[in-house]
This record gives sequence, structure tokens and C-alpha cells, in this order.
Amino acid sequence: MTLTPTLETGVSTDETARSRRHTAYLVFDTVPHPLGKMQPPVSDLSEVPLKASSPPGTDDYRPSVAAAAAELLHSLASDGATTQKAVAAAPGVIEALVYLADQGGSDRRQSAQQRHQGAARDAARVEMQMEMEMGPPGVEDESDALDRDEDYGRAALAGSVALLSLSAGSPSTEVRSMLSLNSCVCLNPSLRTTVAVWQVRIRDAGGAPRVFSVKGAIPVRGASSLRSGSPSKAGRRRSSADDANLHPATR
Amino acid sequence: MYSKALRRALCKEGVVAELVDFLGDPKQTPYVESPVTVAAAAALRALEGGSSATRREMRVAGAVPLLLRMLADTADAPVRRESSRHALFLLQAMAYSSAEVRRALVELGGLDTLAALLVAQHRAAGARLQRAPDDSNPNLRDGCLN
Repeated sequence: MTLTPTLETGVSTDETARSRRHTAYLVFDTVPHPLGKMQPPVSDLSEVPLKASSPPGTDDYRPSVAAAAAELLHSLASDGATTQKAVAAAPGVIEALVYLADQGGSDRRQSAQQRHQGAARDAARVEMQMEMEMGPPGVEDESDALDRDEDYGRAALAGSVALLSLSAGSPSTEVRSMLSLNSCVCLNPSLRTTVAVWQVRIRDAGGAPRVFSVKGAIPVRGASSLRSGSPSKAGRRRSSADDANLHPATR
Repeated sequence: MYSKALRRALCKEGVVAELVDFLGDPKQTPYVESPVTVAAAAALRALEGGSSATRREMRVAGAVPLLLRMLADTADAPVRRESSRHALFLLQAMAYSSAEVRRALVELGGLDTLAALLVAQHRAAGARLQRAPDDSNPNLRDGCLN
């Protein structure tokens, strides 16, 4: 049994769900007997060029990948304080999570805005009676834009929950000191699934209280410990003074 | 998506172990992506399908270190390989349901790999923002209305 070159035409580096399904089908379509030995060896096929998914330098950032990495790190860290501290202490991780939680939400809104702008441009084209069968390069399909919005939303939530977990699980200043004054976790109010509200209070390096609040649901183990992970009794009761420190999106 | 019965049948026939063996071929050092390896990684991910039995089979077949190795090669750069993305999502599914997998990942240096991956994505996001054109004026992005 051989894996025929027809695989080349079906395999795409495009990350849409459609292509993933297509790729998977091709595998099973070309493996008539599951115990058959795969031939030829990979080395013979390594020269086959992959179809470029996009121009170089335009798809370096993948919110779905960042979100998955954050969720997986959080999953590993939830097994023990030692691991949790190791995750928090890894250079750049806190900053990356803050980006996901904060800037990731902004990206999502920007994506939606671009989508609306795209719709407006499409309408303008109709009015101008331009004969175009396809949109110009750079105008993406509506479903792709929605998928990307979902990715941004998931990334923002993953970053928020991981940050909260790392903060709540480490009542000492070890983790909290890594959070800068500007690391405000922005709650995305348009998340569709809402099953819980997680809130954690920390004090930044200057000693000022900060309140982080996240509502939503992702497969996060240790959610109960997250809810009960307030570093102090004062953290479980919200005062009006603390309300003043709430991020506008979380009030 | 494949049915649960089909996934179970394929697993019993040894497809999982065969795919892991194939992806872990010692000839692929460092890991080489080809259309076939992409398809194999996608097949592993499709076979997982939420089945604990399949995940157990993957673990026994040695998929955890393999998947981590598929990620490690791309930690310094954003994940451009489709097979590596499949590996990441598959590892996530396996780690979520198995403490044994999580322990293995930590022992194998998965924390460093994942942290490097996350930071690389963060850097890429910063670079992307710097490259982003002025979206406030659609004429700058779309020459059709000029």
C-alpha cells in the first residue's frame, strides 16, 4: 500500500475547518487497510513543497495557537503550586498572557470593525455597479472573519483565566509583582457562554489594589480552587472603595 | 467528523499506533513536515475525537513526547507548520483529561516549550500590530474606491 501523490492536491496549510476535514478524509481514503505499512518513507516526500497558506510575514500571529498554548500551560499549572510558579516565572509568559487578555480583546473588536468596513465597501461597490465576481485581495470571506473573531475571543478569555489562576494561586507577591500597573485584564462583554464570574484582587507593585473580573467558560480544571483562591478574607468581600478600582468593562 | 464507532474500530485496528510510529520515524530528526505528515497529524487529531480510549492508546504508543517534539522545533518561531498546530491541539485535549499526561509533559520540559511558544506568539502579535496599516480609512486598504 502506498500513499499516492494525490495527497498533495488535497493537503492544504489553510487552517479552516473545511480543509482540516478534507485533510483527514484524505488520510483514511488512502489507507485501505489500517495495518498496512505506510510507504514510501517520509524522506522521499520531504521535497514536496507545501502550498503556501499566505504571504510570508502576514500570518505569524495565530490567536488560536496562542490561546491553546495559554490553556495548556494553565492546565499543567493547575496540578501544583510548584508547576504554577514555574509557569509564572518563565520569561515573558506573564506579559504574553496580559496581551491575550487585554490586547486580544481589542484585536477582536478591531476584527469585527474591519468586517463591518468590508461589508460597507461591498455595498459601495454594488452602488457603483462595479462588475466584480470576487473581492479584491485582502477581503476575506465572512465565515473566516467570524472564525477569527471566535479565536480572538477565546484567546482573550484564555489569557484572562490563566492570569487569574496564576495570581490567585500565588498569594505571595512573587507572581503579583510581575503584573505591571498597566496589566489590566479587559473583560470582553460579548462572550457568548457565561457560566461563572471569577474575580481576584491583587495589589500591584505600588501597593494599589486591583480587581480583575472574568466571566465565561472554557474547559479550565481547578475552577473551584480559582474561585476560592482569594488571597485574603478582605478579598472575598467587595467594598465601595474596591469598586472604584474596577476596570470599566467589569463594573 | 467520523463516527464514534469508526474511530473505535480504527483504534482497535492499530491505526493510532501506526500513525504515532510514522510521525516518530527516526528518519525525521529534526522533524520534517511533508503533506503526508500533515495528514497523519490531522488523522491523529481526528481520531482523538473526545475518546478517552483513543487518548489512552495514544499515550501508550508514545504520542506525548512525539507531539511535544513536534512543537519544540517551532518554539522559536511562530507555529507555521500545520502538523505542529495539530500536535498542540491534540496535546491540549490529552492533557485536559489525564494527570498522567500532564506529569509527563512537565517532566519532558513541556513548560519551557509551551512558554516559548506563547512568548513567540506574543512577539509576532507585536510585530503584526506594528505592520498594521491605517484601517480608519478603507481607501488605504482597498484601492477599488479611490
